[in-house]
Amino acid sequence: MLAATILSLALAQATQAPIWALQPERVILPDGSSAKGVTVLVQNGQILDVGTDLQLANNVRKMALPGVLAPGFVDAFSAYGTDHPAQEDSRSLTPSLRAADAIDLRDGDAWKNLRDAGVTSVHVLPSPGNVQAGWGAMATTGGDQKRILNGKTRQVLSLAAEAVNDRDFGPSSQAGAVELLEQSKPLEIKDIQQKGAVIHVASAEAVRAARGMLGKQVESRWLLWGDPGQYGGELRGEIVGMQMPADSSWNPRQMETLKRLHKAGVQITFGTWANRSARKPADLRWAAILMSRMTGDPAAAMASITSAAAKFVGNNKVGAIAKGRRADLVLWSAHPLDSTASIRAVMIGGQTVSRGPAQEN
Amino acid sequence: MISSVLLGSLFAFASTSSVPVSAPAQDQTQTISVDVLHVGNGETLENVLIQVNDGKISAIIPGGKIPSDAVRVEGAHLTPGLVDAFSYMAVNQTTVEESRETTASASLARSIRLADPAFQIALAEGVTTAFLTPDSLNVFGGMAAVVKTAGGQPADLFADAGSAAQIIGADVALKISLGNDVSMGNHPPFGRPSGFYSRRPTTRMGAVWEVRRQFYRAKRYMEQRKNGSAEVDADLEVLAKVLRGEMPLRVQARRNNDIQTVLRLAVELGWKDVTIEEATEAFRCADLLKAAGIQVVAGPAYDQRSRAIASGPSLAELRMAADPPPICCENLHEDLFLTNWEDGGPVYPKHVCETDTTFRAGLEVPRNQYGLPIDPNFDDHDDHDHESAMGDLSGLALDLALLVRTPRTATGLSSGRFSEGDQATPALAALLDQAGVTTVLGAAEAHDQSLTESSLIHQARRAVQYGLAPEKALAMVTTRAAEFCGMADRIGLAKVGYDADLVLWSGDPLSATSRPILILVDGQVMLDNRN
Repeated sequence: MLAATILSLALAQATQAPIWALQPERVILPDGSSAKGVTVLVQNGQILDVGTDLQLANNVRKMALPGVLAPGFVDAFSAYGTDHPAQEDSRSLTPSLRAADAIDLRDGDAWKNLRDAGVTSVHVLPSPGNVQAGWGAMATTGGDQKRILNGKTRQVLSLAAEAVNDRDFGPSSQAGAVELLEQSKPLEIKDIQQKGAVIHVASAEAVRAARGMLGKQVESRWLLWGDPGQYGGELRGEIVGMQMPADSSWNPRQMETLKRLHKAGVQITFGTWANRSARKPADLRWAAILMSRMTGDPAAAMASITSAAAKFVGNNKVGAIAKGRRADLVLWSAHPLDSTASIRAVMIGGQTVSRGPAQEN
Repeated sequence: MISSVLLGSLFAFASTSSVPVSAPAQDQTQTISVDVLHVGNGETLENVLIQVNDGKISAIIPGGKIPSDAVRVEGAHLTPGLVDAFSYMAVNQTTVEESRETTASASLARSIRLADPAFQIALAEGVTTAFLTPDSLNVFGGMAAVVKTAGGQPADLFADAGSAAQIIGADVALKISLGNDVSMGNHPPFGRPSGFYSRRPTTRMGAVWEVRRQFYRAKRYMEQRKNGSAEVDADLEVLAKVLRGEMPLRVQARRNNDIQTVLRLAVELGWKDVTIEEATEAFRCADLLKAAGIQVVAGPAYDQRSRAIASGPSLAELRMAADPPPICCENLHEDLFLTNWEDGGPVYPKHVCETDTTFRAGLEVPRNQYGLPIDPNFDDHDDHDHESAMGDLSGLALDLALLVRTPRTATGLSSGRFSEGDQATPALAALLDQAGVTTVLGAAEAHDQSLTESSLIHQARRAVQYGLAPEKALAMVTTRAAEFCGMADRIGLAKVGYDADLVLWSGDPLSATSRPILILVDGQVMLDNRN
C-alpha cells in the first residue's frame, strides 16, 4: 500500500516536469518546408506535440521565440569525437568493431564547433579502410544527458577500391573486395539485418555488387566516394551520403552533380567526414544552401542535413521537429538556408546549451 | 566520326543531344530495306524488308514493296549485330583479384564498368554483344558475363541515354587460365612473404597443380555437402557447378602443351563443357581437339607489335641475320658483345677500323629496324685485307650473334602473350575449321582502344584472307559466337523473334572498304553514320 502510494507520487512528480510551448516565428517541418504559427510543446527533453491549433493547458509555459526554429542538424557521417581514425588496420574484416568505443566525450573544441554550427547530433563511423569496418555510433554534440544515443547504428562496409585496396596483401581490387565481402557472408553479420548498413562505394559496379549480396534484407545507405557524377544514376530512389568539398571549393562539375543526383531521384545527405580530412561543421549548412540553389528545392536541401540525414543513420529520434522526437532545436535569426542567418540558441535534449550573441532591441 | 562524338559526349560536362539515339514508341514498327541480308548462319537473302518492333525482329519479307518510310541505303548489306565471344572489354585491374590464385566466385557481372568507353568503340565496329571473360592474372579468374554494348541505362549522370552496356547474362562460365600469365610477377617467399606476389603459381606446373587441387577439393566438398559435414564455400560451389555440368568452363591456353594439358585435365576431372580461349597454337593439335570434341574461341593475331604478338622478324630478315656482313678488326669482341638490352637487342656499332686510317671512317652500314644490315653484301672493307682465320671467327661470331639475338627478336618480351603468342597465325581459324574443330573468333582487348584494325570484323576479314570461307567467318562472329555465349536463342541471327540487334554495312561486311553505317540494339538506333 505504502509502496503503491510512493510510486504514484513519483509518477505525478515526473509528469509535473514543466511543459514549454515554444512559439517561434516560423518552424521547419519534417519534410523540410517551413510554416508560420506553429507551436512546439516540449517536456523532459522530448517534443510532446507540434501543431497550429494545440489546446494549451494552464500550466504550459509559453515562450515566443524571435526567429526560425529548426531541428538541430544531423552530421550524417562524421569522424568528430574520435581523436584517431577509428580503424583497425591489421585485418580486412572487423565487423564487431564499434566507433562508439572511440568517441571522446570530453567537451572540447570539436563539440563546441559543431554546436556553434547548429549541429546537435553526429553519426560517427569507423574508417572505411576495411571491407567490413564495424558499427557506427550516434552521439549528441552536448547536453548533460546520455551522450551516446545509439552505440550500434549501421554496419559500415566498404567496396570503394580506393579505400580497401592493399597492393601488398590484398584485396588488390574492387572485384577482390567484393569477393572478400561475399566470402565473409555479410548477411550473417550479427544484427545487420535489423540495423542495416552504410556502404562506401565509388562506382556503379560496387553498388550493383552490394545490392546483389545484401538484397532487400539489409537496409542500405550509400556513402559516395570519388565522382558520384559517374555513377549516381545507379542510386535512383536511394538515400546517399555525399562527401562535400570544403566550404567554397565546390567546382561546377560538383554542383551540377548535386543537381543531377537530385533530379535522378537520389535523396542526398551531407556529413563532415571526407576522404582525407574532416570538413568544418559549418560546411554542412553551406552544402544545403548550395543544394537549395542548384536544385530549386529548399525542402530537400533542408532535409539533407536534418530528416534525410536521420534516415541515413536510421534514427527516428532526431532530425525533425515532430511528436516524439528529441528536443534538439536550434533557433535561427532567419531561415537557415538564408546565408545571412545566424544562431540565436541551441537546445539539446531540452537543455539550452548555447546562446548566440545578444540581439539588438 | 560519330563514334568520337559518342565518346566525347560521355565525358562532356553538359551533354547535349549530339548522339542520334531515337526512342520510338513501343508499338512503332521500323522497316529496313536492304539489298543483301546476311542471316548469320551462312544464308544470304537479297532485296529484303526487315521489320523491327518492340526491340525484336518482327518480320522478314523477301522482295516486298519498299514503304516510303523505310530505312534504305543503296548497296548496303545487313548483318546481325556482331558477337564477340572472347572479349576483355573493361576487364582490367579493378576486375581481377591478384592476391589469390583462386577467386572462382568473383563475378564479372558485379565488377564490370558498364560505362567503359570500350563498349562504344566496339559498338562503332558493329559489335553489339560481347562475352566478357575474366582476366588471366590468377588461375581461377572468376565467372564471365555477357553484355550488350549499348542500350543500358547509364549510371553516369552526365552520359546520354542508352550509352552504357547492359548485362544480359551473369555468371555464364568459369574462367581458368594456364600458361605464363597466371604466374607473372609471382615469386617464392624467400623467407618472409613480402606481399601477395609471394605466392603460387610460379610455373606452368604450378598453375595446373592449383587447378587439380581445387577440383579435387570441390569433389570432396560435394560429398561433404551431401552428408552435411561442410559449410557453404562460394568458390567451391562454382567448381561443383562445373563438375555437375551446370556451368561451362573456359580455359585460356595458348601453347600447344597448355592446350594438351586442358585435354588431359578434361578427362581426369570430368569436365563436361569446355571451351579453349585464345588457343594460339591450337592448329598444332587440331586433331586432338576434334577427337575430344572441345571447342575453341580463337584469339586475334594482332597487327601491332606494341599490343601483340605476330610481328617477329620476317623470313627475309632471319635469312639476313644468318648471313651478316663480314666482321673484322682487332676489337671484334667489343663489337660483338655491345648489347643494349633495354632497347631490345645487340647494338651494331658504327664500325671504325682502326687499323686503316685511310678507311672510309664513319660510313654507316644501312640497317633495318632490327639493327641488321639491309644489304648482306655490303662491304666497305674492299681495301682492307683479312686474315683467313678471321673467316672462321666470323662464323663463330655469327652463331654468337644469333644465339644472343634469336629469342628476343622472336618473342619481343619474355612473358605472357608476347612469348606465348609467337606462333600466332591468322590462318588459325581456317586450319581449325578444316580439321573440324568448332571454332569462333574473338577480339580479346581489340576494342579497348580505338585501334580498329584489330576489331572483330577485321579478325573475320583476316581469317578469310587466310583461307576461311566467308560465310563461315561471318557465322563465327554472329550465330556460332552466340552459341558460345549460350544466347543462340535470341542473338546472332537475323530471324523473326530474335533481338533486333542489326548492323547495316556500307558494302559487303567482309570487304576491307566496308564500315557500319547504322547500328540497332534492341531495335533502338545506337549509331547512325549514314550521312
